[in-house]
Amino acid sequence: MALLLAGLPAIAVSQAKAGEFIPVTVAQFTTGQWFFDGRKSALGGNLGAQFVPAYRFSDKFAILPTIETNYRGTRSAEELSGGATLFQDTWENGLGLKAVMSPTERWTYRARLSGRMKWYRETSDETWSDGLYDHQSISAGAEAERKWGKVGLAAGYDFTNLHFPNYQSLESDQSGDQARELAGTNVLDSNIHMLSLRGHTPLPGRFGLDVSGFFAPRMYEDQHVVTLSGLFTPSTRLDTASGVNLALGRSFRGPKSSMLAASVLYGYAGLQSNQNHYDARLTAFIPDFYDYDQQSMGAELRTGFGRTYAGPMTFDVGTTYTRRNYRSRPIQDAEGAFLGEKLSTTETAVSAAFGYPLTRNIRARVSTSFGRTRSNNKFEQLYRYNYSNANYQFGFAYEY
Amino acid sequence: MHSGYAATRSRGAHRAIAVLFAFALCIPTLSFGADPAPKSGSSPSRPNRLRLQPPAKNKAARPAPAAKTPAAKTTVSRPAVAASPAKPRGPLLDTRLDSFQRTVEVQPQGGGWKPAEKKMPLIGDDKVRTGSASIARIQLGDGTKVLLLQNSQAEMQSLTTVEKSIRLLRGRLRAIVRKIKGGNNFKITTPVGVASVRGTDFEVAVNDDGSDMEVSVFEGSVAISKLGDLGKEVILTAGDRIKFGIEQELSDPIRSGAVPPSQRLEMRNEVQLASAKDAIISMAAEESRNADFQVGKSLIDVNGQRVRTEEYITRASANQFKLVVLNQRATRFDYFTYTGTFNKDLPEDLSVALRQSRGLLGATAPEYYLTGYETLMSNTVDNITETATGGHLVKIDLNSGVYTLTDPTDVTNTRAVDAAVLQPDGSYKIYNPVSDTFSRVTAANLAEAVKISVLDSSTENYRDLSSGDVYWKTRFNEYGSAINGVLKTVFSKKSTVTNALAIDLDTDFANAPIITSIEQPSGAGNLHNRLSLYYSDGSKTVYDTYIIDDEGQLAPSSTFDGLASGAAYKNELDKWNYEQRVTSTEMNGRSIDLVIDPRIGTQSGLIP
Repeated sequence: MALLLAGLPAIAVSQAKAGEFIPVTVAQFTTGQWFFDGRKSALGGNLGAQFVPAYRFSDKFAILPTIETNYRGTRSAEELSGGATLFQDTWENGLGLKAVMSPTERWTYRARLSGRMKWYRETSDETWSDGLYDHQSISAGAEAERKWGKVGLAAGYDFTNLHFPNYQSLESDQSGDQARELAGTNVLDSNIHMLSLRGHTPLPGRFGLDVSGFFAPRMYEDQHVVTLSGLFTPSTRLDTASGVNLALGRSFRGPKSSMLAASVLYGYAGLQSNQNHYDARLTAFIPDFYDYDQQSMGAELRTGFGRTYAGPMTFDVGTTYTRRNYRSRPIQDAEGAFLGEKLSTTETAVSAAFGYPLTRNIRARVSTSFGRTRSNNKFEQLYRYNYSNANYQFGFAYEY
Repeated sequence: MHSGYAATRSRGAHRAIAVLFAFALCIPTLSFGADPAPKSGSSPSRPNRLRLQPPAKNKAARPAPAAKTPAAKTTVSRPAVAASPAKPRGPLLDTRLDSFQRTVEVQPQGGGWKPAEKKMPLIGDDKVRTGSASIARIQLGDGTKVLLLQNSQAEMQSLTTVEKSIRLLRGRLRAIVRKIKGGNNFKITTPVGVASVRGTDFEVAVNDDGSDMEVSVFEGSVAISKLGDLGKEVILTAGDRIKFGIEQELSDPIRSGAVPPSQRLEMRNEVQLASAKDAIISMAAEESRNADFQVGKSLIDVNGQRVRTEEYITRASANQFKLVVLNQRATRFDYFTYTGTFNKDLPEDLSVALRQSRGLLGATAPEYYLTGYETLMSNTVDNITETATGGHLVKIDLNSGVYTLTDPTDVTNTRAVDAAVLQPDGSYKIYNPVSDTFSRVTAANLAEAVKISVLDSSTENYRDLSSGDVYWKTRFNEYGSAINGVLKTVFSKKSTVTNALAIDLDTDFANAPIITSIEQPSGAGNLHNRLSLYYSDGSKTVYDTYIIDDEGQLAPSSTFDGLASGAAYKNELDKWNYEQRVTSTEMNGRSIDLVIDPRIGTQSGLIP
């Protein structure tokens, strides 16, 4: 990887003679509200922009620096919500550099570096950059893609260091018999090694199939494994996340230049961890607390219709159903007592969006989404497992 | 995004010239040699009135509109059309107004303007014009597409397989020229100049008076020459833009960023691939955050401030454990500890011992019971402690309204205590075997007062004791509470042998607090109580207790529906968070502010 990146400047210089600058800009501004079990947030705005001053040195080599910023003041119904509050906004910034090399028609190699930083303001006493769950990541990766006509297959590896700068365990600040041995400090920090695979193939009947998957061991080097005694062992936490996604799609041409793209989606995600959980409130030990299997299904319909001067109008609808089964985590009754049944959650989300082109680059956009989450867990003193939420947003999107 | 040229137009200096933006087209990049100069005979003096080629004299019979006829790739044989004084070179190319939008008109050569029709054939000298927000799509038989954009007018000059030329009189058009073997000799003329191509995607604009021309190239290359100076050519390649006028010389092209749409799309796709991987990492971070919420490590207090909590167990010695609850806010740190000392060494699974020590229902005596405990609340400067020692087990039998207390180490040592005794004044004296205290209630409150709730370890829920129950509980012979080391309430048993005797009957108390007020500062509808305790030494301690949800909102009183004690009350309490803020005259204006799980509070004695 290092060798690969070290070679980039030299290649860039050698190819610079035939280069061209290809700037890409995407930006959007929306405003709207989020509703959580009948309560509503204040009117909030979402603002995002991504600028990619790409430079193509030749047909075989390009680099893509990326600068992006995203402020989000209105949440969508698909987001995790159970532990958060109505008062929440986030601001995410990212820098990236990607090199794409295509020495032959069949092979493409990619290398990337990226750094991202996400800030949260979730409570009245948090300001930008001091949110408890602020996090930053640095990633480096490479990918090789082989094409056989319209069939493509790519395999990649990415390393990420994920750091929560404002989160240190409170226990690590204690001394004497007030803390356990081996209590770590940066307990949420982790190193992630991700192997990924993705492919695309056309199918008979003008269908297209996209497949992707990943396998990602995640090492928490400062979080020790807790045991039945409530104490730590020298072993540190190791999670392995994996996932597979399938998308089968087809496009249809309708009358008067209308178009419809339909796709059905299936996804599996799993997490296996050696970490357990010790509930000091109830002095309960729960082995394999984090392990789960998750399956999701969905469908999307995207339509383009009508002819305005600047292009077609669009109307998209989508729905997803996700069920997560924790392998070992028991449910609790409303008062918190652990029961024998294992915890599961189901999330259903429906979304719709309408876009109207104002110019070739600017679209007005209205969207709404509704989500419903249910669980067999009835203990909601700390986290909401059963709720409904919704949102609406309207604004503008710009692409160039 | 508008070019600087468009911005100039908006200031009124020029009109009707704008650069359009790239379509998402995927036409391969081509190299090409410039087309020879346009036909001679034109004059650059007044471009709009200028005719590069005079009207045709021998008109061909116009084919009828053929809506179903494929527009492209067909070379039709028609009578030769004289689009210029010179005989057209090569056979005519089937050219049609493929489709249009809104106001588009066609002027057949020598005729007047007529509304356009779909698939309408076009031949030399035909003119097409578009109105506001209108567009005309012209399809040439070789696959070339020409989009005549709004408020524009063009004339079909020569449409043969050998020579393809369209004259833009005003406005703008975009040409997507198909690459064909041997080159595609296609050109756009304007009153100002000529753009010649052989397979490219480009756009030409000319202002209303024909004095300025602008060309943007998205794919391939285009040769630009100025009328009156046809010997000079400027080659534009993808991304180039040039602007010149009658009075201006051709200059170097401007690298305008008019990037081929296909390349821009390709770049966008590459960025999306990287974003997909970042999204997986972002989701991992989000799950870490959510897991913290799920295990209660992050709460919101009654003031809307985030409270980080950590609760864990340490083991100071084989027969001791310490429950530690840490609370951190942005500006303060508070903690609570409960240290329990047992009658024997504790098992690895502490829950076995704790389940028995917090009071056990059933006929069998618990194997583990507390012999002492200490609680500590602190803000790191001040502390409030409670210490109990001399713990011993007492068996409590409830039968027909009478509690029988027995010392299990000496079963002959028993004492019977009535659950409720009518007093001469009509009130009742109530005995609580869990707290081992007596109280007085009115007859109206008797039914509720005799309900004594205990935690049933088999269900982990509270239930009221009923007749026939046997309950095991630790009693302590000595107890003391202190604030910043100053003892407040102290008691000790008078006798060391009557373990079954109730505290109230066998205890010396010192400095017991006098409750002077219980207030509801947040109104009767909210569960915020303020308890003020005055001690005989003149000190005062105030306990503000808030029952809050996971977002720090006060619980409404109606949630408890009048419950203030008993199993139903404690079961409901377990669904909420419990925040207690303590101030004292011993603490010089400081406070201890703890958010704690109510179950920990009830088990440790923090919550009565």
